Amino acid sequence: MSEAIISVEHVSFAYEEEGREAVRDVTLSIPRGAFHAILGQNGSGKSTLAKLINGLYLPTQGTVTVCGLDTKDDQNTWEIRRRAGMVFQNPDNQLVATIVEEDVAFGLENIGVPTEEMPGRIEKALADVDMLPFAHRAPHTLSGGQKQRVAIAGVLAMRPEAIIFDESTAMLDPRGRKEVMAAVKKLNQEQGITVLWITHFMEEAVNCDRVHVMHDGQIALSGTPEEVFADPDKIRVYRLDAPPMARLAQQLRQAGMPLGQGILTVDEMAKEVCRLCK
Amino acid sequence: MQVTLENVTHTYQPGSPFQATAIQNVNLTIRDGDFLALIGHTGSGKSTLAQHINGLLKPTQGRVLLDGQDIHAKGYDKKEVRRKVGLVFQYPEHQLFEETVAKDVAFGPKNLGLSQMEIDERVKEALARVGLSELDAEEKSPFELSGGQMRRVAMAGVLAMRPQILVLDEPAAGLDPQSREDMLDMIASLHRQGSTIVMVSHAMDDVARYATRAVVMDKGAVAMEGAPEEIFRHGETLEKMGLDVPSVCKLGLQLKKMGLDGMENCFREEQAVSAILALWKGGKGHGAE
Repeated sequence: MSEAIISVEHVSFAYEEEGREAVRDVTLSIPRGAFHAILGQNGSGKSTLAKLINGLYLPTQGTVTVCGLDTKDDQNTWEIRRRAGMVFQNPDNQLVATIVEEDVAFGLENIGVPTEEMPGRIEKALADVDMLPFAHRAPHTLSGGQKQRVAIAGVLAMRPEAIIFDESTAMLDPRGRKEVMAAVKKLNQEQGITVLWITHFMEEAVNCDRVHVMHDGQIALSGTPEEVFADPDKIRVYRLDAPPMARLAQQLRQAGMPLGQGILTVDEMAKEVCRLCK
Repeated sequence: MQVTLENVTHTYQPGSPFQATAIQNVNLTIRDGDFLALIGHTGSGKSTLAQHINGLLKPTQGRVLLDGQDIHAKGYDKKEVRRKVGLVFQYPEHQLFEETVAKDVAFGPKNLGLSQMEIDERVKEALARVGLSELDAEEKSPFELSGGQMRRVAMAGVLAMRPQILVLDEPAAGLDPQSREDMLDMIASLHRQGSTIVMVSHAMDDVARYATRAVVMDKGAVAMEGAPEEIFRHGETLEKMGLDVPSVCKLGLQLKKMGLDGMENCFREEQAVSAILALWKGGKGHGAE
């Protein structure tokens, strides 16, 4: 088994002392290079879990380690945030500078990267998300998808090992969502950056290695996308919905059509329909 | 009641270096009982268009008519437009501000100068229409509610003005699947009860399921208009405009590419089920049995 880059062991967290726990006894391990998704309705605890992994919150019980570093140790905080960067939901709340490249430089200045090293790192980070042509633009002139890619470049410039995306596509239009998703997949596949993708869009989870469904502060279901979405009725219990093709497949099977298992995408469905009908 | 946009053009900051024409020469009529979806990607002008319907934005050129009357004409009571056409912005919950839910919903009716009794009645009615009757509106702060509930409170504030037309700018954006469905079902029920609905949306599956008519905006102009089934027949054109099509249409297009016809007129899930079953029964699958 490959080494776990993010390890969450029996972690619980409550916002106030003696308050209700937003995360309850969660155990999770994400191997280096993996692409995992966390799904859950609003209030299921998924964003709280993200902030626990990044060291923004500290567990009331249990341990979170990132690259072997315990988040509870103050001395590790900055190293953890550098190694496991985070991209948030609102594209307008994350960019701080007036020019794109300065925004990417912001994090580098904070971690004390030598000035002469910065231009190279900034250029590479922007190129990695196809935003280099926009290096001298003002962030407010960019689309939502472009802004989020600048936010990703800001994290990339720090040379992270993992990136946590906390509903980073929730406020984007379909085109922006596709752009961001494509950029992130490329980073995972080509550079081996570990991705934890938190979302409530089912179709974004279908291409992940593994999906964890959070419900009421706990991980209710874990498995490959095929396993998790195999039964649309089961996923509805957690106030989520299966991807459209999984729902369609279920209805066709109920009507007697012998479709194969694990249909999640349009391509998979089209192949099966052709196999049976042509 | 009918709203007509007549050759409407809107240019932001005209004469400045930032001059930008958001919509150009738009003609559109919203009729009683419509559930009209405004589709288009970001920057296509659909939000600008939506804000003309209640007179919030004034056309740089062209006219907006409410029952034949130019709402920007001298002497026309613009308050009348605002009362009849309610506009719910994107993320309307960001605009909640009062101490209690009841006070927040009462804000609009209070400004109309209604009696306290009438205000209370409207607040109660509006909260019922958004499915929040159970809430202790007098006590509860809007900021203690879930995201989906907060959005309903914001919508109740608009409904309390008793508009005949409700313009909603991406009412389901950012909601989780269940809250999203609840929200859309609620809008559909407002439509059934007689409200005219104009809904700006990116989500084509929702448009396919709920709208009676759709207008596609592209580069500030109306690119297509018609019933959803007509619009979605042009899946390839929509994709060229950077728009999504309902997932069922995507499947139809993919099957066509693979040489299997029969799903051209499907855009909703139940239609796809029947069409695929028909294909299967007509194909070798059935023959082999």
